[in-house]
Amino acid sequence: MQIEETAPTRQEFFTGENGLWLPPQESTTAHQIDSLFNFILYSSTILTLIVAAAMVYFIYKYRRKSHADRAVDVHESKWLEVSWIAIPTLLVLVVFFWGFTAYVNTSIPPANSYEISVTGQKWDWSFEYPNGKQTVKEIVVPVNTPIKLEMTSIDVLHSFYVPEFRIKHDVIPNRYSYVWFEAPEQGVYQVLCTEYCGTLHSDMGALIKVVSYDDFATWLASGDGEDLSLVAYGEVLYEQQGCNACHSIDGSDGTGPTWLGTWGEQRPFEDGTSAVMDAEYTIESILYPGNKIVQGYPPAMASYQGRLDERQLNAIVAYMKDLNGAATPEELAPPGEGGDTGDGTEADAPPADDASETPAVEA
Amino acid sequence: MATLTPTQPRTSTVPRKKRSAYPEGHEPVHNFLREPGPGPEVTGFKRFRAIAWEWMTTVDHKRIGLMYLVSVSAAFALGGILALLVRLELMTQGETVMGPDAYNQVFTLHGIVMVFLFIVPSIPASLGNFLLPIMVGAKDVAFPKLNLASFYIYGIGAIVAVAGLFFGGVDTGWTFYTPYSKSTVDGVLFMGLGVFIMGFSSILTGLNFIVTIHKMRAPGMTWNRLPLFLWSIYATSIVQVLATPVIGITMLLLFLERVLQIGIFDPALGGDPVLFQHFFWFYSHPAVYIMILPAFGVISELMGTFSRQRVYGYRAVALSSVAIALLGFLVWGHHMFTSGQSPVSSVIFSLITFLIGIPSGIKIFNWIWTMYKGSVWLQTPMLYALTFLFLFTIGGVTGIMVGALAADIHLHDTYFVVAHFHYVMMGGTVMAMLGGLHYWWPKMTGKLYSERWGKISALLVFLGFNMTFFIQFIMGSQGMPRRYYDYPDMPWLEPLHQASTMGSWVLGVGLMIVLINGIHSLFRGKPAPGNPWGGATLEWTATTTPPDHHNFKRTPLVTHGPYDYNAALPHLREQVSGDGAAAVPVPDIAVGVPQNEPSIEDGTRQPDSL
Amino acid sequence: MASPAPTTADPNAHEAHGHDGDGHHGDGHHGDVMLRGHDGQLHPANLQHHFISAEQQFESAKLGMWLFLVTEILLFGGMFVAYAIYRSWYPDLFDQASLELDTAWGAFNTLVLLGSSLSVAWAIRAAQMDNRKLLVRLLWLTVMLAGVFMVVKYFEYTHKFEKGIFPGQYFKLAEGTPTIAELTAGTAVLPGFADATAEGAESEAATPSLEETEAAIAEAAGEHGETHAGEKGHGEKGPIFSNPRAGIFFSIYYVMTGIHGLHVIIGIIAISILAVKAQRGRYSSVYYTPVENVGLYWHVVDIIWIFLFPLMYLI
Ligand code: HEA
Ligand code: HEA
Ligand code: HEC
Ligand code: CUA
Ligand SMILES: [Cu+2]
Repeated sequence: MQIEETAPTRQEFFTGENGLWLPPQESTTAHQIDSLFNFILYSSTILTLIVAAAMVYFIYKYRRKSHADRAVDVHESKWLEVSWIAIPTLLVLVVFFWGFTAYVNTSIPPANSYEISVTGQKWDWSFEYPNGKQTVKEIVVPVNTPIKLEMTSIDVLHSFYVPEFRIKHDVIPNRYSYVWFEAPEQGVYQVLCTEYCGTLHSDMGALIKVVSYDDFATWLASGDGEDLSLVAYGEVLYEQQGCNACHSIDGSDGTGPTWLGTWGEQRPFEDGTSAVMDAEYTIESILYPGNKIVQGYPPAMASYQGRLDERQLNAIVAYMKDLNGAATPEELAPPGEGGDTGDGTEADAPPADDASETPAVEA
Repeated sequence: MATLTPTQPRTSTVPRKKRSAYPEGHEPVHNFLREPGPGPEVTGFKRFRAIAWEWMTTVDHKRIGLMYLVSVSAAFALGGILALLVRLELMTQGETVMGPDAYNQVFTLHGIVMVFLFIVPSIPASLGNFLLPIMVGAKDVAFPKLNLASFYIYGIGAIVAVAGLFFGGVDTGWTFYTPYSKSTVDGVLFMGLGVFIMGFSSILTGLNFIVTIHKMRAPGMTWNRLPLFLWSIYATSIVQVLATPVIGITMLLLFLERVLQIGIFDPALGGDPVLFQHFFWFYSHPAVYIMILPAFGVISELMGTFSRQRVYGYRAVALSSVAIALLGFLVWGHHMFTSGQSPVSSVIFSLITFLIGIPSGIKIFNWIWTMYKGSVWLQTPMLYALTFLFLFTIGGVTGIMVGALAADIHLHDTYFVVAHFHYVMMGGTVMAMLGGLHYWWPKMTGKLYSERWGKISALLVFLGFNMTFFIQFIMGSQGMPRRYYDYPDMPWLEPLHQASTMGSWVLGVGLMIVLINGIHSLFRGKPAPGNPWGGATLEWTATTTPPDHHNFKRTPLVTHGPYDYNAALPHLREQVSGDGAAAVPVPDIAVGVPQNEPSIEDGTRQPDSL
Repeated sequence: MASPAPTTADPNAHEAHGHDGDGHHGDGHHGDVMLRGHDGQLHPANLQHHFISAEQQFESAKLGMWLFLVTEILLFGGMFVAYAIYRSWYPDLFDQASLELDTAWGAFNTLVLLGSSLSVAWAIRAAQMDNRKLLVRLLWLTVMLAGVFMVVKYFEYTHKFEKGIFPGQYFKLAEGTPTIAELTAGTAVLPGFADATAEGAESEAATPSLEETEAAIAEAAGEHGETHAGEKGHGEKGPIFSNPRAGIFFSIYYVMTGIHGLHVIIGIIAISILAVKAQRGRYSSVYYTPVENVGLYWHVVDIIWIFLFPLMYLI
């Protein structure tokens, strides 16, 4: 399966089809927003030019020629005043209704949308498909299918923004919000976080990979990390789950403690107690990070409860052990050779209602 | 074409001679800058101490105005330097001069310093304090001691806010959104408290001004003769009094949220972060009109004086300020289109947002029409005023763009918004303030600044500003989010960021020249004539330059409107303009003491003869 | 904008003025103590130099005070809005919580404040009638009543602290009731979530949604309301102690009554100063602006309580 790995750079955006101002339109609703944008852009350009031209003309025409120059008495013209009240009023009303209808038209997702849930967390996006498949920092979606994203946050506010789709909505802890889109073209698009959320706000990206329906179905059905040894899978998870945002594997300090050289050590806690870093403690730290706060660190880590299954937890533990040279042979062995495959998530078939009406379309 | 050489023969005699015409105790040497002052017997350090103490305890609105001017300028310089750092960091991808945490603190501090320490008090507290009592013909504001108190409250608030830097700093953005602001470093406590305290200063200033305008007007100073500057200060004060208490309670609740975990805004305790946004914007949107309305007032004065023409549609301009002030209370939700407020309220907020464009347009068009059949004189203040008209129009129409519901979905929290508000705040308020400072500089300091350098700086500021911020419109609509330390996912924007950064240097050089020009004029500037620009409001026609301690020898009796240049400059009445049309004869002014020196109208002294 | 009508009419000190061009007459027409100003003219002793006349000064002071009171009302307005919003979201919480407030003492305090309002109003009257002795007494009476109010508040607060009723997170819930923080962080063991947590990977075990949380809270509240009521020996433990959101109500309660109390204390200080000055004969029918202004302030403090009392205690 050939899914691209990165979003293309828009080198030629100066001359691209959408010109200087807007990114390419890659969703079925983008054109509605663009036409409004362009209408306001052009009418305000004209307006600003009129203002500037009048200014320049008057400055020249009525320039002071002598210090004794006096103004000519002008009488205020009702017509003039009424016209510069009426014309802007009309203009803004047009813009208002346009903006309002476009808003309504673009914000309501079609009933048959494919739903994916999205969780924002400092500083990662994670996604979960209806069949339980989970991904971090990327989603794969079928082309020409309305996709509805049900979003919530674990810690602070974030905002889910895809410039090419012209969608954006805040992601709020303890609440659900949604955005939806339907991409008519295959391709890779960049997700950005647009609500300030701390240190790595600018790094909180994700990719949306729009693929043909067949590719999507194959991808969805493939398990995650099934073919990897626990240690190798742990390494994948380390990046995929965003542990690397806070934990280093080279001994350097980050937001959280490094993973190098801590395995099997006595860990001192803020409350004065301590514990040995073993599998049990590690899993507790991941699921209930607030229980034991390592001395010298803020309670900044959010719970991964419900986001990692048992095999994934074991994989992370195995990876940590391996970092410190303590991995067992089983953990190093690929599955099928005595390795523990855990109870990896079984992918369901794609939902039937979608399958019938969304054939794979090539770009 | 713009720079006139003196065409009139130098008819009048040397000004020194005229000095004797001043009433006892009101000669130009007796001005508020020196008076009352310690007696001549006090010398050396003691003298310095006595003078310093006198300034610090003064209740003279003019001195308080100047002290504010120095403070807000310092805040602007600080905020500006932080802005240059922000731009520098964004110049290249990845880390340029600081890491992400430092960057987040720098842009937050830039925003907070610029908004709460600089722009909210800027024009009203400095120019407003200095001019308001003189313009209404009073000896002082209604509550002079309260005025001094509000200066110190501002000072304390500013110090508390900046003290936050030593307690971890703040990295929340100037909007303090919860729950982030609840969990991050402790500096938030200090900033919040500082903002809370400065709020009182703002309220007290507004209250003082409203009472002064209502109750202290000189005889003959009817509402219809009130200079437009005062109308806009009046509208501003209403907003200050009505909106500021809400930021007070918001900051208090945020403070308690952090200290006592009261859980009103924190979702983890059952609170609602969107409620915080409502509270915050309920103040902060009206606050943007606190920032811009005084600027409108300055522009009205400048357009009138430098076109020597009655401001077109005086009444419309005056009342539109009040309309903007009141409508401004009903639109706060336009900052929250993507935040999860109910779509119905979004629609209503969007509609009212647009309505504000109408009174703003009335102002712009009236100002432009003021030049019609006027006599336009392109001195530095006028250059800034014209810059304002151009930049504020762009800022305003882009405000309309982000106010359009569907468009804002794409533009919200991108550099498009950053560019919008710099066009209105820097391109609007700061340009107006610079114009006003140049205009009233001779009145405040008694010195002339260099016109040539003034014009050069205005040009540089104009170019640098557009270079910095116009590009940001493009970046924003291309999708560059704001508050980004880096743009790893949009490497192709690097050249634009670089151009913007270089623009900020040009801007910095321009502003540096303004500063140097001002300082130079303080020490080396030529003494200013009484009315160098031919203004018609009381500060030009009825006081000395600089004004003396009590402003007026006698309470002035006002007999003509603020832009009645023919009445205010009677000795030129017979002369005729280039068009050949005669000025309408009007009665002489019957006010106050004479100007202390012949005005530019006599052709004796003028700024561009420097 | 017209200046607000004076609360107490004084027929001879200030007649109604139009705004235009009228500021210029009647210097010192009360004929009291006169001083010579820097301009060589005579002024009443209480007239500050930058005012033209005594009524200009009086009216300015009063307009200023009114504006200040508007800001006070807006300050509390913000909190009333927060109250209204949370009330509409959690009506049950507010019902339960207000049971914990002592209506009798609240009502008593309301009467005390009403009485004190009456006494300042009367004090202003006394000043207008040049009855210094009465003025001083009434001012001290007001201070005393305000003091009584604060004492009652003190006992109300301490009583609540004893019961573990603190604002926000510090509210002492009945044992076993999960806190909101636990509920939202998903670390609470909730009925219905317990097994999911144990199993680990089921998708329902994801952080509970708001609805799920609400349901769980309701369930928990019901459960614990039954099992824990009256169990812990603190006397009457109401259902509120099993409501994880209880802290929110009491946050609002403490913040609002706390800030109101602060205003009462400021009032006590201001009125005491007035009383001392009145004793020294500073105020008379000619000059009593401070008495009138502090009186206005006190009425506002009173009115705010009149709103607080029913909203917090009764409904
Ligand atoms: C001085 C400050 C100032 C001023 C005056 C304004 C003026 C306006 N602002 Fe702005 N605004 C800010 C400061 C200001 N703003 C700041 C600081 C932010 C960002 C805050 C943050 O998030 O950090 C912001 C953000 C902001 C947003 C939110 C954007 C977002 O976050 O997504 C919106 C949306 O509606 C908006 C709209 C407007 C409008 C409609 C006006 C109007 O008042 C403009 C009216 C003027 C004109 C329209 C021009 C003149 C008129 C004519 C020439 C007539 C013809 C015009 C028409 C026919 C339209 N502003
Ligand atoms: C009054 C308001 C005001 C003003 C005038 C400015 C002025 C400037 N701002 Fe500011 N800005 C804000 C208010 C303002 N800003 C706000 C509210 C934010 C949002 C913050 C947030 O997101 O929370 C913001 C954010 C903001 C950003 C976005 C940061 C981000 O989102 O990541 C950027 C980036 O380019 C920027 C740049 C600039 C620049 C280059 C200037 C220039 O115009 C500055 C020019 C000034 C100087 C160059 C200094 C001049 C020097 C002297 C006069 C002499 C020096 C004196 C001595 C040494 C004594 N600003
Ligand atoms: C937001 C930053 C952040 C992220 C992301 C994060 N952590 Fe942490 N982590 C911390 C902090 C801070 C601590 C120390 C405080 C504590 O004990 O809770 C910590 C502590 C730990 C500990 C205990 C370490 C020790 O040395 O005792 C483990 C194990 C751990 N994290 C695992 C993980 C795993 C696995 C992930 C990814 C799936 C992860 N963390 C993601 C911030 C983070
Ligand atoms: Cu997440 Cu910004
Ligand atoms: Cu706004």
